Amino acid sequence: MKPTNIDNLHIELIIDLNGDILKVSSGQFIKNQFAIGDSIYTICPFLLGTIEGLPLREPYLVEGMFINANDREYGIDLDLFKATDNVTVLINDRTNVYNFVNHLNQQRNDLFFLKRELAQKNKELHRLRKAADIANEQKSRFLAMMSHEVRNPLNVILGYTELISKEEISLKVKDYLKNLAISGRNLKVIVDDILDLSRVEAGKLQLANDPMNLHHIIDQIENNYKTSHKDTDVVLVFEADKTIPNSIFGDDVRLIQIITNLINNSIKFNVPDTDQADELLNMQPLNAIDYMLSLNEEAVMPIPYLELHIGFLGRDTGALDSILQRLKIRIKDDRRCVRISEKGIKFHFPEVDINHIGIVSDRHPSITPVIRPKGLDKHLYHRQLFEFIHSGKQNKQFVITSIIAELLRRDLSENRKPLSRHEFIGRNIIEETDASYALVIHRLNAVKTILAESQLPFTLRSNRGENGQKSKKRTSFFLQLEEEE
Amino acid sequence: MIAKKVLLVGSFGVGKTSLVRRFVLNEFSEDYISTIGVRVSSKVVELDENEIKLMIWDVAGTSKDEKVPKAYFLGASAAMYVFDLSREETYINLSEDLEAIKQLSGLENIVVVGNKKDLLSEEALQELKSTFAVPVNLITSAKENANVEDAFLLLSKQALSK
Ligand SMILES: Nc1nc2c(ncn2[C@@H]2O[C@H](COP(=O)(O)OP(=O)(O)OP(=O)(O)O)[C@@H](O)[C@H]2O)c(=O)[nH]1
Ligand SMILES: [Mg+2]
Repeated sequence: MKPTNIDNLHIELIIDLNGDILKVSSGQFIKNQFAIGDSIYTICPFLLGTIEGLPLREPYLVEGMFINANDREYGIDLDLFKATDNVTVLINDRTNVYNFVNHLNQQRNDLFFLKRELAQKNKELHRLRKAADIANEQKSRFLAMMSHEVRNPLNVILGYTELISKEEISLKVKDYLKNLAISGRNLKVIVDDILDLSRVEAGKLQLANDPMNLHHIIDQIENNYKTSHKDTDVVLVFEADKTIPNSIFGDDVRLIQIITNLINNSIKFNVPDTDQADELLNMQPLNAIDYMLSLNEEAVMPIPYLELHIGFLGRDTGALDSILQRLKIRIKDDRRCVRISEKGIKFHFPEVDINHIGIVSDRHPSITPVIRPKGLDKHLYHRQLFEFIHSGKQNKQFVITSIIAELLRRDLSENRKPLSRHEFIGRNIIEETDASYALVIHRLNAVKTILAESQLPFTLRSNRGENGQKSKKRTSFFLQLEEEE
Repeated sequence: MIAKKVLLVGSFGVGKTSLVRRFVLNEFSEDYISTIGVRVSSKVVELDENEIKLMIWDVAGTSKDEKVPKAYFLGASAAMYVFDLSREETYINLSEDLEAIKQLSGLENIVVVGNKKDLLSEEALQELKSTFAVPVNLITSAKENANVEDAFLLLSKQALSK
């Protein structure tokens, strides 16, 4: 940077009372603009009037003025001093200062107006929230009323219907009563549905997490359908796989609701043509139901959850979807295979046993657990796994959960070869904290392999003892999910 | 031709520059580019068969407790005090501010202008007008070119009479 010559930053002129330049006394600042005899007003038009107004022998500073010269603009300050027959004009170049001030000032003002805008928006928001609160309150009141004033008489009707049907009455009346009871129950379901939906919307739907027996549930549903769809030509077949565990944790009421809804939809949208029906039957588990296991982040020991996500062939399932999103069934003990079938719908909880991650879907036909061979040192195994991932021999892509990543990193560095994250995560690896999100990636990007880790007691055929007994020892294993080529 | 120096003062962002631009160039912009120091422009106006060259000093807006430098008023014949009808803080101390400017400038009369009339409904405007402690000469809108010419004519008149 060239040192600035102080002379270049100012110029002092003597002018007469008409503004004509008499003398340039010092300084070089835009000197080419000031020739003797020229009018100062050419360059400094704003001095017109100011010079006349200047009191005698009183120094005046005029700041923040702008002049144009040599094809650019300069910010200047002027020191003015008026004597009886001339005026001394000292012009100081302040361009840099004013540029800076300009910048600051603009920011101050922008901030000011932003603040104002924000305050206004806040006001509006406040108003809207109030309105929403009132509307919500009204809705709640209405629903409470629904609950009491509609449900109660309905229950009374149903109760008396039952009582009357136990009396000695003609078969004809009995039949009438049966129809009355069915319609009454249907109405009750609708009322309950409306209430559930509003609870879901309000986030107030609490899902139970109690032991339930799937066999009983299937029986119950089967019972419910014994009479209800007589006039359709749909045959419902209920089958509960023998291997369904007895103790499953979840919300039986909701589960029944869901299955019932699905069955109702199946009946409603039943395709008479058998070929098509078969097609639909085969298609549904794929499109309609995806299961996901995700982990409970708070638990020290990860607990597997089963979450159902249903998009029912693009049909509007209304309340059902909302409920499903919040439904979690916890499977305890022997988590193997759960199969509930009925015409039109299949539920698969295929044979896997994983906790951090897992995907159970027809889209992932091959699931290969990679288990550390007995006797193989853990560090060595991790090293091998790492090298396997990095070998580049296979053109696979991996999603790897953070837990595994951490494990590998730690074990490998304990092995005296510290690994940086950068080194570790290569081009063919995506690291994900959330196991269930890893699944999503897996699906979206068609990533070939997911590596996940389990430390829960698990049961797998390959892990059984010699005599086929279940082994419940805690083992760490990796689950590899592969898309079929 | 007589040259007269006049000033526009008032809080920042009230529309001083916009008024001058509208008057001199008949232009308006929604952008807010805050004025630093002083921007001087001029326009010749005709008043009672006199041609006057108005030297209009558009002074940087002030914020609370900030004063216009006294030197700016040197040789000034008239001044316009502009406030923003949509921003209470720009006119809440109207009478004190006017008094301070009179003191500083030595001018007896200041043209008082409430700008941005387009941002207010007619009713709101009427209601507001009745609350002003000081007579407001003109209600303008630089944006919609309302009363801008009149405001500067009044300013010229005052400048000429001095
Ligand atoms: N709606 C509306 N906006 C206006 C009017 N006059 C000015 N504005 C807007 O108000 C903002 C500020 O206008 P300026 O003319 O720069 O205000 P100023 O008084 O010169 O501001 P400073 O130079 O900082 O003192 C700009 O965004 C203008 O577009 C008006 O009559 N109506
Ligand atoms: Mg301005």
